[in-house]
This record gives sequence, structure tokens and C-alpha cells, in this order.
Amino acid sequence: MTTQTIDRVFAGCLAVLGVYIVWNALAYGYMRGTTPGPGFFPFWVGLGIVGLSIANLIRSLRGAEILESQFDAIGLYKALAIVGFVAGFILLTPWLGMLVASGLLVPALAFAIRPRWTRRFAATIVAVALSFPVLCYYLFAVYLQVPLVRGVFGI
Amino acid sequence: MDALALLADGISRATSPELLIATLIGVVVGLIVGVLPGIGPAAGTAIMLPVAVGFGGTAAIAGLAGIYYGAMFGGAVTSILLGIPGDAPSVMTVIDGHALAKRGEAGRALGMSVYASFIGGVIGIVLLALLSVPVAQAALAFGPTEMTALMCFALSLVTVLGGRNILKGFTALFLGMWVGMIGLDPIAGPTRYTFGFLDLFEGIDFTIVAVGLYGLSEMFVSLSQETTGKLESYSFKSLLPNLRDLVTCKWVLVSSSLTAFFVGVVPGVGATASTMLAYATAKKYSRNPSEFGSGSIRGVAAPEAANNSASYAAMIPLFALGIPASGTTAVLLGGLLMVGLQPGPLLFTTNPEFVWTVFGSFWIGNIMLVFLTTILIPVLASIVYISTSVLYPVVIGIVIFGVYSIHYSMSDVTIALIAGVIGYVMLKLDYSPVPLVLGLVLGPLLERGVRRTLIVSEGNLAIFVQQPIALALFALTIGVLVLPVITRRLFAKQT
Repeated sequence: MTTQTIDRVFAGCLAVLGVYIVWNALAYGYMRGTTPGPGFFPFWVGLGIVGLSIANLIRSLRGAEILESQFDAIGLYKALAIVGFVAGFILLTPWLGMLVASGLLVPALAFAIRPRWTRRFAATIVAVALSFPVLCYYLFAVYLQVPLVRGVFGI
Repeated sequence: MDALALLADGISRATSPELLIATLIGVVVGLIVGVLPGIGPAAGTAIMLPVAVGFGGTAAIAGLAGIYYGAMFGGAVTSILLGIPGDAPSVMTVIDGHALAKRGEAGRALGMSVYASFIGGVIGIVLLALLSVPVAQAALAFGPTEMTALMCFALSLVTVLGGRNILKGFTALFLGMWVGMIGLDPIAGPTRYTFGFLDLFEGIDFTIVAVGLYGLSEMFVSLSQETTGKLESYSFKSLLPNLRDLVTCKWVLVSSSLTAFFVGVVPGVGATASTMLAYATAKKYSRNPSEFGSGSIRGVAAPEAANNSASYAAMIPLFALGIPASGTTAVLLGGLLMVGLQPGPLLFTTNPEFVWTVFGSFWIGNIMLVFLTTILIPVLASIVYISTSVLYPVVIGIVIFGVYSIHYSMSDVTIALIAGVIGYVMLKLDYSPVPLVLGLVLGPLLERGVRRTLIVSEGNLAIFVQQPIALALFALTIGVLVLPVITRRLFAKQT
């Protein structure tokens, strides 16, 4: 899928979202007597999104839309891997606790960004992964008194 | 001259240990943010926002603002030594700064960048102190109708001037306004667009979206970029003030600072455009314009004085009118709201001590930056070589802990992640995230203003054009929206 195609799909999705916003706005109530209701502002915002998205879509289809940057495979895979690892962190946190999970997240993210590790780089990452939860513990749990999520290890 | 006395008071209060530490942390983070090509001032401020608000009111804002103007100092270091602008406002510094460095005069260029930044900062802070009170006093006469008109004008300016693609800028703006409507309706009560999720009933916190949109998405985009460039050498002695250069550039320093301040105060123009204008003006009025581009010391002085002056100019609409003029000031607005302060004309009468102490911290931070930048140049230049595979995991980790600490909720981390992905797609597809964040911040305020005004007028739309100030502002808004279309048509006809 080219970036231009993604641009068109994105504009189409936004137009659909705009229709959804307008539809719901009417359900919330456009006017209440002589005064604007909860749907008044969303109605115009939704209508704006529909109109602008269709205009963007038409511009793209006519070739008038020149995109400066393109999705590159490496950057996209790295971004997706980071999103996947952070999603995994969110799922694992209730069991492992935030501090332990963050100790695992750091090397995972490093792997997502740089899959090939030298011995020196691995040592650096291990040091960072071990010191990061300690830093976060003192900054957030001790200094800012944030109640961090604890896991099965009690931390 | 009352304003200067108030500023002096603010400076003395800003020397308390707590504020000195907050300002120091802010400017050091700002220097690092300015150096790193993947993270701009808006992203840096957004990433640090959840952490900073934990430190409390004045310290939080002093620290966050420190990141903004600190980045202006830091951006010059990599621009000069490596030819890589750390952030957008330092783009113009590359042209002559790096040319000087390649000629073996890196120290001279770095020295000038530091002192030009300082002079630009001093002029910017003094003008901020002198002009913010009259602007706030004038705005006190504004009722809900005028404020609504002013918000429309500011949003139109930011959206038109903020991005390359105006249509997509407005799409992002409307999208942000819609996100701002999620949750309980502020006037009538029912919930809107919550999709049945209880976590959305209170609405989506601005900070969480800003962190994802600015912080995470910019990191995602920069993953495919590699840091290249040869580090030019310099001697420590060459960084010391060069009186001859300062005398040579005195008019450039003053005129660039003034130009950038008065241009930068307009919402949407920002430090980058102000810097470009200051550079172009300095070149035009130079006795030897041909030296610009090939290593002119004036070509370093003009943009560096300008970007610092413009960063303080952007504080006028924020503090005096409650309107963010750029992405970074939108994050600062979020910070102000999070510490329980509503920026706007009333802030100067209800919380004058806070305002002047924050302004005082700008002065302290500006002085700190002269010494810190000079001392830390070798460190700052080497930071750009830190592998993103070490740096980004740590930054993402801090983002996660910071976002969680706002409401102690992992759902917020999920929302920030989704915002990061959307921001990444938007950046790639040329949708600027700045209007989205501005829509998210100002959308709910605009909705409340419009609906309250229409409730008073019993649905009569004529109320918006009955007040002369509101009418003038709406006319200006229409002008801003229509002018680009007319100029484009005229340009198309000519070519």
C-alpha cells in the first residue's frame, strides 16, 4: 500500500467519523427550545470534518496532494514493534508490577529499534534496564508519591 | 515602569531554592531537547508535563517554560558543530554557523550564538513584561462574545500559518475539537461520544493526548532517520565573549530581537518563521549581503537573537489572553490548567505573584543558559551521538510513568499510545498535530463561549456581530481564511 493510498483511506475514515459525529449530534439534540443543545457544536464540527475530508480525498484522487514524507518499511516496522511492546507492557503490568515490567520494557524497546546487538551495546542496555526501574521508583513512588501498580513480586 | 519593578520583584522571588532547581532542571532538559533532532520543544515540554506538574504550581511552569527557551539555546550547538538543526527554529543558524565551523571558527560561532540568544532573551523578557499588562487590561473589556471571536481569530491564524496544507490543518483542528467534546456535556449534562467506556465519562485529558501526539509520534517518525555529520572542533577560549563581534553585530542583535518579538507575538507565526524573517531582514540591510550564507557572524547573530526573543513573545497571547500561539505554548496552557490556573487577562489581577515570579524565572533561566551552554557544549554535542536505541526506551519509559501518574490509570497510557500512533500517521500524511492539540484545548472553551452567548441571546446569532470588537475580529478571521485562496488564485493566474 503506497502512502498516497493510505492518505486516501485516512481521509475516507475521517469522513465516516464525521458522519458518525453528525448522526450522534442530532441524537443528542441540536436545539433545546430556543437555545443550542448538546448536539449543536458537535453537529457543525462533524459537518466540518466530513466536508474537509471529502475535499482532501478529492485533492488526493486528482493528484493535487503532494506528500513530503513517505512511510518507509524500516521506520514503520520499528514503530509497530514499539507499539506492540508498550501494549504488552500495559497487559503485563497488573501481574508483574510497573517497576518489573519497565525493566523488561527497556531492553524490548531497544531490540525493536536496534535488533542486532554487540556485546558492548548489550551491556549498556542491561545497565539501563536495571537502573531505570530504580530511577522511576525514587522519582515517582518516593518523591512524587505516585502509587505505582504492584505485581506478584510485591513491587 | 511599574512593569519593570514587578519584573524585578519576580526575579527576586524566582531565586528561591525550589524555583532555582526547577528552572535549572527545565533549562538543562531544554538544552538536551534543543540538541536532539528527533524531539522538538513541543514534544520535550509535553513529555515532561506529567512529571513537572507533580512539583506544584510556579515551579512546574518555570521548569516547563525553561524547556521551551532552553531548547532555543541548545538547537544552535548541533546546528553549528554538526550542521544538523536540533529543532526547527535553529534551521537558519546552520547556514552561516556551520560554514564558520568548517572554516575553523566554530568557537566564534558558538560564542556568538550564546550571547545573541542571551541578548534576544533579555529584549524579549523586557518587552514581555512591558506589553503583557496593557494587553491583559485591554482584554479585560472583552465579554464572552469578544472572547469567542478572539478564539476563532487565533485558531484561524494558527491553522492557516501553522502547516503546509491548510485543508488538512483545519481537518486536524476539527478533529481536536471533537476529541475535546468526548465526555460529559459541560452545559446540558449528558455524555457524548464515550462509546460506553466509563473512563471516557470525564473526557480525555489534554496532557495525555499531547504527550502521545507530540512526544511518541515524533520519536516514531525519527526512527527512520540516522544522525550523520562530522563534529567540527573548537577551543574553549574561543567561546568567551568576542567584543569586536558583539560591536559589529549590535544593530543586527537589537533589530532581529525586536522584529522577531513583534512578529512572534502573532498566534501561529512562532519562533521558526520569526527567525527566518529576522535572517532575511539582516541580510537585506547588510552592507555586504553576499557574505550571508558563506560564514557571516551576523548570520548567526540574527537567527539566534530572533528565536529567543520570539519564544518570549509567544507568552503574551498565552498569559494575557489565554490563547496558545504555538504547539509548545498549547502544552504550557495545559500545564497552567493542570496546576489550577486559568490563563487570561484575569490571571494578572487574581494571581499577579505567580505571573511575575514565572516571568522572573525566565530572566534567571536566561542567565543560567549563558553559563550552562558554554560549559556543556562538549556534552551537548556528544548527546546527538547517543544511540536512539538507548535514549528512546528511557524516554518512552518516562512517558509511560508520567502519563500513569496523572490519574494513576493504565487506561491513560493506552490513550497516549493510540494518540502516538495517530500522530505518527498524521505526520506522515502531512496533517500537522499542532491544530489538533489547539482544537482540543480551545474547542471546549469555544463551545462554552458560543453556547452561553446563544443562551443569553435566546439563539439569536446576530449577537456575534453586534459588538464592534467582535465584529472586527470576525472580519479579520474571514480575511485570514479567504486571503490564502485569493493569493493562490492570483499567483496561479500570473504563472
